[in-house]
Amino acid sequence: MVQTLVDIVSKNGNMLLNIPVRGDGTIDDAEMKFIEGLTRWMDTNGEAIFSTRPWKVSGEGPVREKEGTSYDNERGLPNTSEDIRFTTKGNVLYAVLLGWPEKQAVIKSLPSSEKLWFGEIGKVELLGAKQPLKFSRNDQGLTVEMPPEKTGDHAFVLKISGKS
Amino acid sequence: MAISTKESYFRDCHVARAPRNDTMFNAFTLDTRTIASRVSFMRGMSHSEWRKIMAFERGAMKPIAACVLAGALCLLGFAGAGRPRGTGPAGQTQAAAPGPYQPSWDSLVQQYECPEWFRDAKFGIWAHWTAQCVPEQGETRRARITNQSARWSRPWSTSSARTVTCS
Repeated sequence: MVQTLVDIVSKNGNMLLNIPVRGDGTIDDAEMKFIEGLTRWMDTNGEAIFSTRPWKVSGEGPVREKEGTSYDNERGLPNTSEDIRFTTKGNVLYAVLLGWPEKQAVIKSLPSSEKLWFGEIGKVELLGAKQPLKFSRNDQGLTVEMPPEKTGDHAFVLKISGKS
Repeated sequence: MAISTKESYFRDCHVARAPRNDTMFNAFTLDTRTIASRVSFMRGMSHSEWRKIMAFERGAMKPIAACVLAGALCLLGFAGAGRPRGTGPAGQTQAAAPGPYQPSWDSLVQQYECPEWFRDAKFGIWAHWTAQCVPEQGETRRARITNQSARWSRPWSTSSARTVTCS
């Protein structure tokens, strides 16, 4: 569901989630658990969602490149760490990894030839992690060294900004 | 972010909606009241009786669903489409409040601008309380069993691979 939300937002969409209620107006435990999980994700990663605007490319990755796949795992294909969605806010580009990469994340849409509106990339941070990440850029894309520990569930946000 | 802090979302929504057209709101509340009156005799019905009622509701709900969708998409000019207007409870003629839109695509396309708050919002939750919530049957119940999206959420998700409703 988080992945669906990220995918929709990367394409300039809004997502409206239906929470059905019981006859007496309460909602059931499964729904509460679900909403609490989503809230946890939003606490860390919400800045890549709210008040963002789409980038010129909504995303990349093997699932997206399958013919006719309009959004993430529409055909039941599991997303991988190579499946990435983009959003922007001011002078920040957010790259949301739909799976946890081992050691390195590679963003093919950001080769050294790609000119970003905020200039050169100066800093790459993982939301939920304390330290900025090491990165390098070449013709193949942007390579980011990931920390050893997973920072959460569902999807992982790289906050990419310029040199300050 | 706590999801419940989207108060401003709803407040702004109301502000954006009120000056334009309040027909949608009226249509929705009226029909909700009708539904509420039906609920009382739906308790304790057999399954086959319930199915008959739901088949009827499916037809009757379409205009309401259309109104809800229209609201969600901020297409306020569609308000009340599919519902007879202009007559009051006792058959007296009532003039609809004048709005900026004519009932045509051109009028919508030329005049409508998506408000910034809607572009910023990105995520919303809606809950519907309808007759089917009482026996916990109907489309929502089926969605729970088959892991498919409930009827009203289909415009956002046509896939059976995920459940956007979390019932």
